[in-house]
Order: sequence, then structure tokens, then C-alpha cells
Amino acid sequence: MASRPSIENVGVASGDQVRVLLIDDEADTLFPLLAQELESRGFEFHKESSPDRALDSVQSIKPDVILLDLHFPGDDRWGEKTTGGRLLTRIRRRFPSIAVVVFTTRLDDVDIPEEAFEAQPHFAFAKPKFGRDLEWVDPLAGTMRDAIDAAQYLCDPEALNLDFLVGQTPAMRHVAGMIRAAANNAMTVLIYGETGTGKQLAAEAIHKLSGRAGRFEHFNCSGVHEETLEATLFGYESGAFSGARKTGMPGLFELSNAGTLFLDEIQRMPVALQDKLILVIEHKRVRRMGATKDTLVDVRLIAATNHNLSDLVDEGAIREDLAQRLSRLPIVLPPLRERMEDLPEFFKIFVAKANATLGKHVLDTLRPEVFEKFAAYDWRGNIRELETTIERAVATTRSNVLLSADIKFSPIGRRVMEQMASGSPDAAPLESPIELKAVEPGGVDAEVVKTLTNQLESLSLDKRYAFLLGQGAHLQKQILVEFICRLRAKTHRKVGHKVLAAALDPLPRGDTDLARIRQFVCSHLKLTELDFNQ
Amino acid sequence: MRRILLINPVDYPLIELQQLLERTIAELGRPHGVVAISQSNEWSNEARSMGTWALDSVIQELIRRPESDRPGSPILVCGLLRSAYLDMRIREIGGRQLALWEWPGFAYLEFGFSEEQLIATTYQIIEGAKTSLPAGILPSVGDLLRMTSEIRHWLENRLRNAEGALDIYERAMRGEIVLHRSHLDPVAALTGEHRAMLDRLWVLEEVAVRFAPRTGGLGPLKSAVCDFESRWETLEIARAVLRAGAVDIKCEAISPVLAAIQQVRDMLLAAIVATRKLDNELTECEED
Repeated sequence: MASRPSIENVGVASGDQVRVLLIDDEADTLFPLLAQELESRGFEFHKESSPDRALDSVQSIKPDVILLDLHFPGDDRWGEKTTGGRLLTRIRRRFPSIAVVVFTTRLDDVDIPEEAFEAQPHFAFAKPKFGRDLEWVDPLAGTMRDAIDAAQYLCDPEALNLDFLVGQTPAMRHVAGMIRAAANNAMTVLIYGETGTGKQLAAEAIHKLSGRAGRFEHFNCSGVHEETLEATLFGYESGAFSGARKTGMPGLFELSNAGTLFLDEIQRMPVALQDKLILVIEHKRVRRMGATKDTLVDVRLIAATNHNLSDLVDEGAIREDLAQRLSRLPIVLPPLRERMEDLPEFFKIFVAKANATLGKHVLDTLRPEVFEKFAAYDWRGNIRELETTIERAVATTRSNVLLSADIKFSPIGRRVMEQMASGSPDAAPLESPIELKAVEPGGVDAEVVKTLTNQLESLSLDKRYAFLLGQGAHLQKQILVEFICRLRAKTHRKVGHKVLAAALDPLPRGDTDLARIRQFVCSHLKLTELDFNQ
Repeated sequence: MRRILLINPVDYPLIELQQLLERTIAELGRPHGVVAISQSNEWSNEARSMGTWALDSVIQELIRRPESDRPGSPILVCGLLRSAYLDMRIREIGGRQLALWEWPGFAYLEFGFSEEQLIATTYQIIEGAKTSLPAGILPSVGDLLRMTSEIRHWLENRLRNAEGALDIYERAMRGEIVLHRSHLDPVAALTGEHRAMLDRLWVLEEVAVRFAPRTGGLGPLKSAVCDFESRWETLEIARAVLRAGAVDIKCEAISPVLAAIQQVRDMLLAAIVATRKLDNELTECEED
């Protein structure tokens, strides 16, 4: 006998459930259909039908995943931009850690502005015909969970020890996207990056995200004798050379079978061994030293270098056919000096780590003079050097706030600073402060700005930051604002606005002049107050 | 004789305003008459509250007038809203409303204007009307097709969801599933955004009649949407009854809701068919 239907509480939300926000002009009629089938599968649904209220709803509900329609009333169906597309861009910008699944009628009709993704992974799902056929339920649930996993890995460095993925600069968002893309296939990856930029961490992240069952092994090819290198990587048979083990030994390729092998400083691999490396990449075969047969291996190879591959080929350090195979999926890790806007975030992370290690309680407040000192430094050792510098500072400081005097660079780094100060050919021409002319309130001295602009444009990128900071304390605020607004490259402007914030920070918040300048900067740089204060 | 279009969006004595304007024109020695247009009750509250309905009605009036008389008619709109506010709203909207707003033959006067202001403005729009109306002010067939496409997309979405709800209620009636509580929540037939979307099409009724006379312009579609709204009201009443029944729901209580959803579905299908018929004739017109 059929049971009597009732409206008891179906799928009451519990703490373990995934919170979903449905943003759709038909949210009121769509919501019950989704909730009916998916609440029992661990999803807690919320809805918003107005695109104008969507961001507020995201802010208040804090969903784990958003199901976002693209087309809303008022959209020109044949136009280029949709309300949903614009919303997606704004959601990505303000809430990068929240997963978004584009929930649209037809996947081939998806109009997603490229800037909304910037190499982040994206997910889309075609709205199903709701009905007796429930084939859409599990795939939609799976897609939402995949989207959440992807967002977590890319936006939560703690999830995979991805400190180097800190920051939301376009370059790092691209890196995060490339790591995800690399994890989804078994192609050979080549990671470019200076020492200390996190090449091994990136390789580990790719390995973990890929879900490969085998081990992650890593090896640095520099400073190793050729025979030792061959034996280590490819293994050897008994009697292959004097001193060889009687039982022979598998190499790293065999040990990382079904896993990943990371080879750093690949340019140091002798050309004679590069043949064997090509055999592994192309034919999945490895031959031990002294062996007569090949062994099949399934190894995902990730190589790293801090040299330009074309130059290495020209110099004969790397075979051209190997270079072609290695560079199928390149990932470039930017040096720290090109990511200075991420420095405050790194500072917080590394102070916290040092506190935990050393049992101290130093505050993670980044004082402007400390930032200035950091920004003026060369950071040849990149993030690794930054971490050790901060750790050293935390260890030696006697106060609970790091001051400029607490920051002591490594001997190598100090040499660079001394060069800069001494005016050697490599040094940055750190100009003395410009003598100010009287500037009328609201006016800008065009001559001063022109002089500053010419000086700045003659400097390399990393020198410009130091120059700006050096001027910041002395220039009239309006000149600094005008100057920053003229910085052409978007990256420069973003750094410029951080510099401005640092330069203006000591001023009292009640300063109306400051408020006016912030407004001026926001309108010129097309920022909102929220962007400015971040 | 050229005529000035006088638009009066509020309850002000239209005849007196018309006479005032005619006297002004006579004093200027210009051979112009005045066509006065009063507010229309067809505009939704939202459009009216935005204060910009007047421009839509100007456009409607321009559409209504014969081809030979259309170019160069000075237009004067009077209203209570501040010019600065209207200017801001129209610039946000953009499109043909902004084009009309910026045309030198068009002017807006806030009530409380002086006689001198009226004289100056009248002179200004008479001179300004010598400049041709900007292209694109009057809607094209392509505009209509885009809007009907947008509405059909919405109708199809609603239909998909209605059919989904129908299936769920049927299963609930057979005792196969327990209805989720959200199925009983009240839902408006049209949100504010949907209503504004429809209003934007209804404004072009005259255009639609001209381009699709066989179909009867927007009439069948308007009628179908009206029927849909009416059926939706019936559905909401049935849902309210079910809600009032709280936990213990009998199968027969679901039956009226089921019937109402079926009727809603039928009306949605009719509305979709109406958009397609209209599109077919509009497309033929575009190709000619």
C-alpha cells in the first residue's frame, strides 16, 4: 500500500553538509527541485534570484559552492556580456575561495568572460530536464564537490603546504591554474624558477593533486658525478661497476613507478645521459646500468631549471629533442621581487611559523619601515630567503613587534644592498628626495611629476619599488598620487597603490586630505575602497 | 504644420499646459502646433516610478506618427522629477532613451518653470529639431527579435521547472516520495526583474503591430502571459491550502495543486508558441 505523503522535514541541514547558494532568476522555482533530490545527499541549499543582491547573499551565507546562472532578465540574448558572466568576475575577485559552478541551459552557449577565470579551473553544468529520470543528480553532486576541492587546493595554502601559492597576483593565479592543469594529466612538466621560488613545492603539489598512487621522489642533478647520477636515476645491475651491490639496485625511476620524479637543475644532466632520459619520457622504459633489457615504468617526470631552455640548447647543455619533450607543459614561478604585493601575506605566514617553531609571540604587524627594507632588498634566495630572514628576526628580536633593526639579511644579500648604496654599476640610483616646489591645494606640480616619471622609467622594475618608497616619505601626497596614477603597467599600479598605502599609513585616519587622496586614487586606478584597503 | 509633442506624465491640467505652450509658440512667431500626450495607464508602476516612462511614451508616439511627419518634431516633456535625477537615471539606462534625451530637439522641464524658461526652451527645441533624430531611436525588427528571444528563454526555463514540479507532485500523490517543504513556499508569478523585462517589450506594441500585423503584434503573447499569471494565482491558492494542511497531507489535497501546475504548464507552452509565431513574421519582415 502506498504510504501517505507528508511534508515532514526532509534533509534538515546539519553541520557536515555542503552549503550551496543558487543564484538564478528562477531560483524560487528551481530551488525545490534541487533541494528535493540533493539535500539527502548532504547539500544544504540557499537561493538568491536577484543579481543585485547576489554579492550580499554570498557575503552573508558564505556558501561552499555557488550554482550560478548566466542569463538574467535584461540581458541581450545575442549580446556579448551576460549578467551572470559579470557576476562571476566579481565573485572570483571578492571570494576567490568559494567554488562556482556555472549552471546554464546549454554548455555550448556558455559566455564566460576570460578575466573571470585567469587560469583558475572552472566548472559548468547543463541544467537538466527535471523529471522522473534522476540521472542528473549524482553528476551534479559530483561536479559541485569537485569544484569545492579545486577551490580549496588553490586558495588554501595550508591544505597542501603551498605557502608559495600565497597571493592573488595574476602570475600566481596562473601558476595555480597550471598546477591544476598539470595534475589532470601525465604530461612532462618543466618548472622555471629561481632558487627559493618553490619549484619542489610546486612539483609536490602536482603529484598530490594528480592522485598518482606511487611515490614522489626528488633529485638535484647538479654537482653529481655522471656515473653516480646514472646509477641513482636509472639503477644498476650486479657487477655493473666496481663497488656495485651484488643484488643490483633500482634507480629513482623505478622507485617512483606509478608516481612522480622531480629532477631539479635538469640543465646539469650530462648530455650522455639525456638519451636514456628521452627513452623514459617517450617509451616509458628504463635500462639499468649493466642491464640487457629494459624495464617498463610509469613515471610522471617533472623537471626544473632556472635557465632559459633555448639558451641551454644553444650552448649544447641540453639536447634539442629533450628540450622539446621537457617543455610540453611549462610553469613559471615568478621571483619574489616581482611579487612584492604578496609580501605582507608572506610576512604573516612566516612570522606565525617562526612563532610556532621558537615558542615566541611576535606580532605579525608589518611596519612600513620594515616593508621598505624588504622592498629595497634583492631577494636572490626568494621565498626561502624571506622565510629564513623572518625566522632570524623573530629569533633575535627582544620586542614583540619586528622593527627595521631586527631585519638582518644574509651576508650575500647584504653585499647587494651595499652595492646599491655605493653607486656601483649594478646599483639602483636611489635618488635623494626631490626638492619640493610649492603646490597649491588640489594642484600638482607637473614639472616635478615629469622629473620623477623620467627617473622611474630609467630604472628596472625591482629598483622602482625602492625608489618609490624612498620618495614616499618626502613627497607631497598629491604628487605621489599623481605619479602612481601615471604608472602605465597594471602591475606597477597595483604595487604603486600598496606603496601609497604604506607611505600614507602613518598619517592619522581622520585626515580629510588623506580621504580625498584615497578617493582620487580609487577613481584613477578604478579601484574600490575595498581594493584599496586590502 | 510641424507640431511640438508635449508629454505630461503627471496629473496636471494638460489642456492648460497645452494652451500655455500654444501662446508661447505664437509669441515666438513660429508656425507650430502642439500635440499633447497624457500619461498612460499601461505603464507598470516600476517604469512610472523610474520617471523615464515618458521617454518610452515619446518613442511610442514617434512610432505612431506617419513616416513623413516623424523627423524633426520638437518634443517637450514636463514633470515633477528633478532634471539632474532624470539625467542620471537615463545615463544609466543609455540606449535610445539617452539618444532622445540628448537630441537638441528634446527638452525636459521641471514643474515650477517660469514663463521665460518656457519661452527659452520652446525656442531651443524648435531650433534643435532641425537636427535629425539620431539613428536607432526608433526600435527595429532586430530589437524586437532580441527581446522576444529573451522572454522565450525565461518562459522555457519556467516551463522546465514547472514540468519538474509536476513530476514531483505526481510521485508524491502516488506515495513514492515525500514532498520537500520548499515545494509549498509561495512563489510570485513574476519577479520585479521579469516584469520589467516584459514591460520593455510591451512598450514596443505599436512597432510590433507594424512589423507583424498578421500575428497581431504583441497581442497574443500579452494575452498568453496574462493567462499564465492568472493560472499561477490559482496555483498559489492551491499551494496555500496545502500549506495550511501542515504535516498530514492526503493525496486528494495534492490533486488541486497538480491540476494547477498542469494549467500553468499549458499556458507557458502557449506563450512560447506565441513568441515563435511572432518571431517567424518578424524574421520575414527583416528579410524583406
